[in-house]
Amino acid sequence: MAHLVVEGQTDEVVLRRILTHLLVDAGRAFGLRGRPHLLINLPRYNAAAQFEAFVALVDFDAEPNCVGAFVNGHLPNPSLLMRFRVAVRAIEAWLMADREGLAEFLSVSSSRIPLYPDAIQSPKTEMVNIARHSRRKLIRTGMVPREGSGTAIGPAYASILIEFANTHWDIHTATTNSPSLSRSMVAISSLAI
Amino acid sequence: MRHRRWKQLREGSSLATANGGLCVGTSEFGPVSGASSINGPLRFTRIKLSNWRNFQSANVEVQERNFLVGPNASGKSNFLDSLRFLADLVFEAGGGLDYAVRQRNGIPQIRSLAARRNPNVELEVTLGRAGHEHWRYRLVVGQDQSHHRPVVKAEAVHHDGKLVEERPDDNDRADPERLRQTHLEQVAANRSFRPVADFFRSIRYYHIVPQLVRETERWESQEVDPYGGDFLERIWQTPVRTRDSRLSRIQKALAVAVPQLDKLQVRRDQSTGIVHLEGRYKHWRPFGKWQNESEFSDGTLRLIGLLWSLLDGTGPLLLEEPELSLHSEVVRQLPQVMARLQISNRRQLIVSTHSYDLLLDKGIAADEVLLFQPTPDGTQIELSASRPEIKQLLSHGLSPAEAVIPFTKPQNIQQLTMAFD
Repeated sequence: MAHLVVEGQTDEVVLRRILTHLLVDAGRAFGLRGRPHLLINLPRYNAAAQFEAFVALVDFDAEPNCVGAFVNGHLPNPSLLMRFRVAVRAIEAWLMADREGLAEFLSVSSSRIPLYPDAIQSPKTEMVNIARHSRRKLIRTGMVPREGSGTAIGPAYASILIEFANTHWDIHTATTNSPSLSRSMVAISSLAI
Repeated sequence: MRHRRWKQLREGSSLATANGGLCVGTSEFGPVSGASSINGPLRFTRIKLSNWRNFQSANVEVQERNFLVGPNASGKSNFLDSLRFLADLVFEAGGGLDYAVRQRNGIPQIRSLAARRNPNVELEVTLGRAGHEHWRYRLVVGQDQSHHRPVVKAEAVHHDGKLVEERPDDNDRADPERLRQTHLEQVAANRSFRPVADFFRSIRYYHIVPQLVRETERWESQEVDPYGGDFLERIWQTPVRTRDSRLSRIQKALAVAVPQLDKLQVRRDQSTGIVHLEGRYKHWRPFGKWQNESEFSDGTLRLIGLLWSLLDGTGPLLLEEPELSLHSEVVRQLPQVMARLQISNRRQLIVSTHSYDLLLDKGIAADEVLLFQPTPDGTQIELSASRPEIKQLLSHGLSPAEAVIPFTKPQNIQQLTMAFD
């Protein structure tokens, strides 16, 4: 069994799907208070990972360095049962990696979904822009911010992504399109017994 | 005796409630255009209060969904109460100006403490659809000198920019007794602005107190009890198909939040006539065990009450601290639950809250958060979007909880711990 350390609820759902796919029992979800909170507390989760398996997942975001340097900088000495993984550059990219599934769910043409999701600078912005073209009102009004709202995402953005991750997201397909997801799957699979 | 007990519970509950980076830039193509179509139900677009309880003068734009945040006793409930006042003016079973003022113990109780000379209280609301103003209703209420009865000092209605009603008029001057009623409350007088009266009547306010829901037999009045005394009776009186459909939606939500509860129904006890809410709890027995509201937890009852209130009606819904008794992770889902419901029904929600968890949702826009700030001259209401520092923090990926809650924290709050030394 592995506990989860995540930034937010969408990441929790995605990581639970991954663990289930890899036949690793998913335990409790820790963190859920954003990225800085997770990174600050990473050494504490790492200490706990001497006794139980933990998988920590963060967005790479706008980090200037390479992923390896970022991981070493935040967790130079990972415990044996700790898996610290990074979504490049955000969890949305992993969801976009199932192009056909996402296109169908959002009711957009699959040509709108990028071919190389790991190469997108701001996957969240990209996701919002894809949703703008949706034929479904729920998707457009829910995911795209209202004019003058001052937010980057629409009011139901999180729950719509969670719905997709829970019910439609094809992990197998996504793994073939996202190298960062694929590497994470390999790393986490070593926790399966 | 029963009335006193009810009052104690109400006050007790409000006392209890009183204590109670990810970096993302704004979208490169800007916000969606036409996301808020001009269709959808009428809603409040602006609310102005003068000399009303905590507010000497407040003037604020409101959205489809609004969260009222501020320190304790800053006037969030009184703000909601000003809208309930409008509903009381047109309440079908005996509402009106006299009733609405009596419910609040007289004009002197409604007047702002910060008021110096002004003896009148004033309310002005604008109703519209997504930026388009359709109606403006203004009411100034004072007292007559001899009997201290509430009287209309001014009443005005605009429709699409044109004045359709203005008082006092010649009839009022000829017979000042007429000023004891608003035209709004009179069917014979409100013909030219009936949609305004209907809109105010559609306002719903909920602040379910679990203990009151459990004491169903206590509630004998014909009036609607926003605190839940008649909650089960109201569920029962809902047409069967609507009731079953709502209960089944609530059951689906409860299946996630309270997984051991797997079935929900209402039933009237034939011998006592009392309506009971019953839930089946799964456990080791093959058929589970039915329990009724007296055995439900506070959190379960509150969640059922909250979900029912969201589904009940189409007019503006005023909610008081929906987070009470709920697990923090359930609270975090509430803004998304509200947003998804609103996409389909466009119902206006005005919600007071102290909850950090609720405001963690980054889908909450800066113009959806109304910040209540007490000052020596009464409480000021600011749109958090109007403060550039909050707007910056939000646009750089902080949640409203991180960006706005610091403005609501009392200074020197740490000294509270020393107060009892």
